[in-house]
Amino acid sequence: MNTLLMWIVLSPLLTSIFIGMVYMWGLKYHKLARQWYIVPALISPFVSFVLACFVFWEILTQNNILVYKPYVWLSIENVDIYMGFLGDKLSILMVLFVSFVGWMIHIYASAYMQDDEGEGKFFFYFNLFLASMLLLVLADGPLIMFIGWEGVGVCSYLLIGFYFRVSQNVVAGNKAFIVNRVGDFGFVIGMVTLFFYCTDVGFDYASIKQVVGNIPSFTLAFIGLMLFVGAMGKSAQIPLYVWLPDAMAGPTPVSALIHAATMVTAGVYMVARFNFLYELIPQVGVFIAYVGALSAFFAAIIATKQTDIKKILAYSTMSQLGYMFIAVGLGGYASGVFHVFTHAFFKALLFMGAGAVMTALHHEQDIFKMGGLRQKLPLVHGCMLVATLALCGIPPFAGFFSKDQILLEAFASGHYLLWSIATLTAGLSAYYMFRLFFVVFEGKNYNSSRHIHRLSKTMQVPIFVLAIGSLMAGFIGVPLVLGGDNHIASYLFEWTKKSLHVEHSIEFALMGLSVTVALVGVVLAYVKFYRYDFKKEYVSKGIVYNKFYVDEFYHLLIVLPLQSLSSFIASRLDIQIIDALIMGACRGVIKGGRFVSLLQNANTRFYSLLMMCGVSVFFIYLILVLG
Amino acid sequence: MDHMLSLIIFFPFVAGLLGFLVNKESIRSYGVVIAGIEFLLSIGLWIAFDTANAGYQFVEFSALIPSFGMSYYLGVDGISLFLVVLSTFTVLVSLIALNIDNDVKNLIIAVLFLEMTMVAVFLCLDVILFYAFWELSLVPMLYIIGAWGSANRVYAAIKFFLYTFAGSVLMLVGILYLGYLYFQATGVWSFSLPDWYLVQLPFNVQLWLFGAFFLAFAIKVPMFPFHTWLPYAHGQAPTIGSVILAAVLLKMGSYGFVRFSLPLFPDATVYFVYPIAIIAVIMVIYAAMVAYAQEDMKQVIAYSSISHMGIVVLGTFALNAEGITGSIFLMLSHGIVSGALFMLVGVIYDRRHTKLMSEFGGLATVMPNFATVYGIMLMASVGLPLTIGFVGEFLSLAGFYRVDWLVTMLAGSGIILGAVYMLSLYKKSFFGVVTKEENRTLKDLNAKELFALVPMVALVIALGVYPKPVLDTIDISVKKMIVLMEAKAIHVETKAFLINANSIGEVQ
Repeated sequence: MNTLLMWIVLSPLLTSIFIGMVYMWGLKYHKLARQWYIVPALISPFVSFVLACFVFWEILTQNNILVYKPYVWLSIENVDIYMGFLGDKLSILMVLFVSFVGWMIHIYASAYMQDDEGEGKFFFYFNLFLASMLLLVLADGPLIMFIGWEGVGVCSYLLIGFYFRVSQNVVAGNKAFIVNRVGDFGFVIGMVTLFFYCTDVGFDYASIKQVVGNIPSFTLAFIGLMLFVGAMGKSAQIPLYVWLPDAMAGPTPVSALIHAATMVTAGVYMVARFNFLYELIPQVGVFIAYVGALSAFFAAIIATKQTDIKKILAYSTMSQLGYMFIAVGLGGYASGVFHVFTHAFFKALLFMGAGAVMTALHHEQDIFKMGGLRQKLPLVHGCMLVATLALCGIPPFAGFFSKDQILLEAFASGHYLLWSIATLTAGLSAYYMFRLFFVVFEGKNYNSSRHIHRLSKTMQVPIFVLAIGSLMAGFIGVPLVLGGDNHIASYLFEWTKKSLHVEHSIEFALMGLSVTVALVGVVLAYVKFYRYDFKKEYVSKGIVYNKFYVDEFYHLLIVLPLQSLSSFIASRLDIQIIDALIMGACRGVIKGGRFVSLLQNANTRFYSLLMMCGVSVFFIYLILVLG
Repeated sequence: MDHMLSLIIFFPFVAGLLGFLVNKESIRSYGVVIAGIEFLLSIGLWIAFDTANAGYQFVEFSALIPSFGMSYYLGVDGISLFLVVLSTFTVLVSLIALNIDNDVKNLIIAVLFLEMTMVAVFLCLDVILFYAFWELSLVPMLYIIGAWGSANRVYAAIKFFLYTFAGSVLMLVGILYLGYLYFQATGVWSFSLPDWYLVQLPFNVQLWLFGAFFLAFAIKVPMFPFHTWLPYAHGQAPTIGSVILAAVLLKMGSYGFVRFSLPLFPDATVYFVYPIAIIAVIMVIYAAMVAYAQEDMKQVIAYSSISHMGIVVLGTFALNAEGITGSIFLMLSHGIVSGALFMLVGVIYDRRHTKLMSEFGGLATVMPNFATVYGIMLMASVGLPLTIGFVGEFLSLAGFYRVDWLVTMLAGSGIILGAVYMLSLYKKSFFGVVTKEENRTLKDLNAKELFALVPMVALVIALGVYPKPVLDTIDISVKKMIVLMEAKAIHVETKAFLINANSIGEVQ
C-alpha cells in the first residue's frame, strides 16, 4: 500500500520522460502520430487519481498515516534525509483534487493544443508539472518538498514561455522563475535554519515536529517568516505577486493548471503542512493573514479595471489566495485547505471557459471585443455562470461555504479589520467577476457577424464535469449551523482551529452580510455592464488599470539598478580598477627592472666606480660603528 | 595492485610520450583510447577503494632523498578520490568532443601530460612532489592556451601562467619553512603531509604560513580580487582548455584549502574564517553581477564559475562535516556542469565562430537537442534539486549557517542572481525568433558531441537523484580531518569554534 504513494508521483513523471523522448525522436527522425504522447499523457493523471483514491480509502477506513521511504537521498553527519513520501489526511486530500482537476485540464488541453506543433513538448512539461506538484504535496519533509517546489517553478517557466518565439512570453517566463527564486531564497534560508536544529533527529515533518518546541521563539518566528517568503513567491502574494498576471503568456490550459491544481496552492499547502510550526508563532500567523488580506483586496481592485479576460482571472486567483492565507494565518488550516479545494474546481473551470471563449473568437483576449456569446456558446455560458457564482460566494455554490468559513474564522478570532477587508473584497470580487461575465456573454451592439469557431466535445466535457464540481464541492463542508455535518472539518480535524465559538445568530448574520455584499457587487455589475454598449470604445487608463504602476516601480527600483550596477562592475570596476591594479603592479616590476638594468650597462669604468662606492661605504661603516 | 596510483599518474605520461610515435591520422582515436583506459583505471580505483576506511589507501612510499626527507609518497582518501575520477572523466569527454584539426597531435599529447599533473596533484602526499606537479600543471595549460587559443591568446596565456606562478612561489617558501620547522621540532627532515599533520605550530607562525599557502590557492580558485586572469584565460582558450581549466584546475585551489590550509593551520584558519567568508560572499554576488552584464556567452559561464567557487570556499571554511563535504561535492558538480557548459559553448562556437549572445537568438528552434542539453546543464548550474548542483550548494550553505547566519543569507542570494544571469543568457541565445540568416542552417549536435555530452547529462541527473555513495565516501574522510584539526589546535577558542561548528543546534 505504501509504495502506491511513490507511484502516484512516478506515474506522471515516467510518462513525461517517455513523452519527452518520443518528442525528441519525432524531431530528429520522423514525426510520430499524436497518440504516442496524448494517450500516456492523459492516462497518467488518471492513474495517479485512482491510486490516490485507494490510498484515501485506506486512510479513511484505517485512520492511519502512510509513509514510504524508498531510499536515503542524502546522509550527512548523523542525519539521513530519505526520499520519503507521506500520505496523511491533508496530503491525500490535496492529491485527490490535484490529480483529478489536473486530469480534467489534461483532457481539455489535448483538444486545445491539438494543432500545435509543439504538442509533444507541451505534454512533456504538463506531466512533469503535475508530477512535481504531486511530489511537493506527498513529500515527507521540507527538503523533498523543495524538489517539487522547484520542479513546479521550472515547469511554469517552461510553460509560460512555451511560445518562445515571442520575446514577451519569454520575459514573462523569466520573470516568473526569478520572482519565484526570490521566494525560494527565503524558503532555503528558512530550511537551512530549521536544519540547524534538526541535525540530530532527521529532517522529515515528524522529526521537525519534535524539535520545534525547543527552538527559541525568535528564531522560530524567523523560520516561519522565511518559509512564508517562499509561499509569497509561489502563491503570488504581495510583494512577490508580479509574475502571476504576466504568466498569462502561456497557453490557457497552463494558466488553468497553474491557478487551479498546481503551483499557486503550494504556498498555502506549505503553511498548512507546517501548522505545528506556525501554531507556536501566532504573531507571524497574523502577519501572514494581513498580507493575505491586503493581497486579496489589492488584487480585487486591480481586477475591476482590467480588460484582458485572463488577467482578470489571474488577479482573482491572487485575491482568492489572499483569502486562503487569511485562514491559514489565523490557524484555520482546514478552512484554508477547503478553499483551496473548492477554488481548484471553479478556477480551473473559469480558465477553461475563458480558453473556450478565446478559441471560439480566434484568440481574442480583450473582453470588450467579445459580447453576446450567450446564444453562441450556451454550455460555456452556463458553466461559466456556475463558476462565477461559486467564486462570488453565492450559496449554494462551492465558494460560498469555504469563503464563509474563512470570514467566520477571521471574525471569531477577533480580527475585525481582517474580516471587514475580506468582506469588502467579497463585494469587489462579485463586481469584477460579473463585469467579466456580462461583458463577455451579454451586452448590445457587439459584432454579430464574426465567425465563431466550433468547440470540440473533448473541450466541453471537462468544462461540464468541473461545473458539477463547482456546484457540489462545497457540500463536503456545509457548516453545522446550516444543518450540515461539515465533513471536511471533521476529516481535517487535526488542522482545524480548536477554539472557535460563535453564537449561531452571529454566524447567520455574518453569512447574510457576506452574501448581501456579494449581491450588491453583482447588482452594480449588472447595472453597469449587462447592456454594455460595444459601440463605444472602452477607455482603459488610470492608475488602477495600470496596476498601480508596481511593475514600473520594481523595474525602476530593482531591475534598472541591478543592470546598471552590473555593467558598472563589469566594465569599470573589474577591468579598469582591479585588473588594472594587478597589471599596474606587473608593469611596475617591469619598469623597476628597466631601471635596474641601467646599472648593468657593461661599462667597466662604471662598474669600478660602483665598486669603489661600495667599498667606501663598507669601510666608513666599519670605521664609524666598530672603530 | 600495489602501484595502482603510480599507474594512474604515469600512464597518461608514458602514453603521451609514445604518442609522438603515433601516426597523425590516428592520434585522435589514440588519445580517446588512452583517456578511456585512464578513466577506467580511476573507476577501478573507486571500486577497489574501501569506503569504510577514512585514511589514505593504496599508499606508496619510497624515499627519494632521505637526508632531506623527500619521498615518493602517494595515497588517496575520500577527499581526493572523486577529484581524480573527475579529472580523468573530464579529459575523456573533452577529448571525445575535441574539434581542433591543426597540430592536433601536439595538443593531445599536451592534454595527456596535463592529465598526469592534475591526477598527481590530487594524489601526492609528499609536499615537494605536490608542489612540483602543481607548478608543472601550468606548462601544458600555457601551451594549450598559447598555441590553440584565439586572437589574443599569448597575452592570456602569459597572464595565466605568471599570475598563478607568482602566487605559488610564496607557497614554496612556506613549504620550505614548514619543513624546517618540522626538522626543528623532531630532528628529522620530512616533507610528507601525514607527518606534518602531527606538528603543532605556534599561532603567529601559523598566520604567516597560512598566508603563504593562501595566496597560491586563492589565485587558483580564483578568489576575489585575484580572479582577473580567469576571464582572459577562458576568453582565449580553446574549448578543451576551458573545459579542463574550469572542471579541474580550479578545483586544485579549493582542494588545497581542504588538504593543506585547514589541517595544517587550524588556528589560523579559524582566525581567518570571517575575512574569507566575506570574500566568498563578495565572489558570489560580484561575479554573478559581472556575469549578468556580459555579452559573450563564454564570459557568462566563466564568471559564473567564480560565483560558484565562492560557495565552495564558503562551505570549506564552515569547518564542519556538512560544509566541507558539501563543498567537495560542489567541486565535483561544478566540474561536470561548467565543463559541460564550456563544451556547449564550444559546440556553437565551432559552428558560428562567435560567442556573442546577440549573434544568436532562436537557437531552440534550429538545434533542439543542443537547447535541451544546454537547458539541463543550466538548471543544474542554477542548483535545481534532483540535479547535481543542488546537493553541494545546500550542504555548503547549511554548513556555514552554523558559523554565521547572516553571511549565509548573503551568500544565498546567489540562488536568485544565478537564475538572473543564466535565464537571461538562455533567453538571448535560445528563445525568440531566428534573426540571423546564418543561424537558420545550423546543424544540431552531431554524434561525437552527443557521445561526450550525454554521459555528462546522465551524471548530472544520477548524482542529483542519488548522491549518497559519493557523499558517504567524502564524509568519512572529512570527519577524520576535522577531528585532526580539533586535536591539533593550540588555542582554546579554536577548539571551541570547531566544536560549536560541528555540534547540533543547541537550545540557548
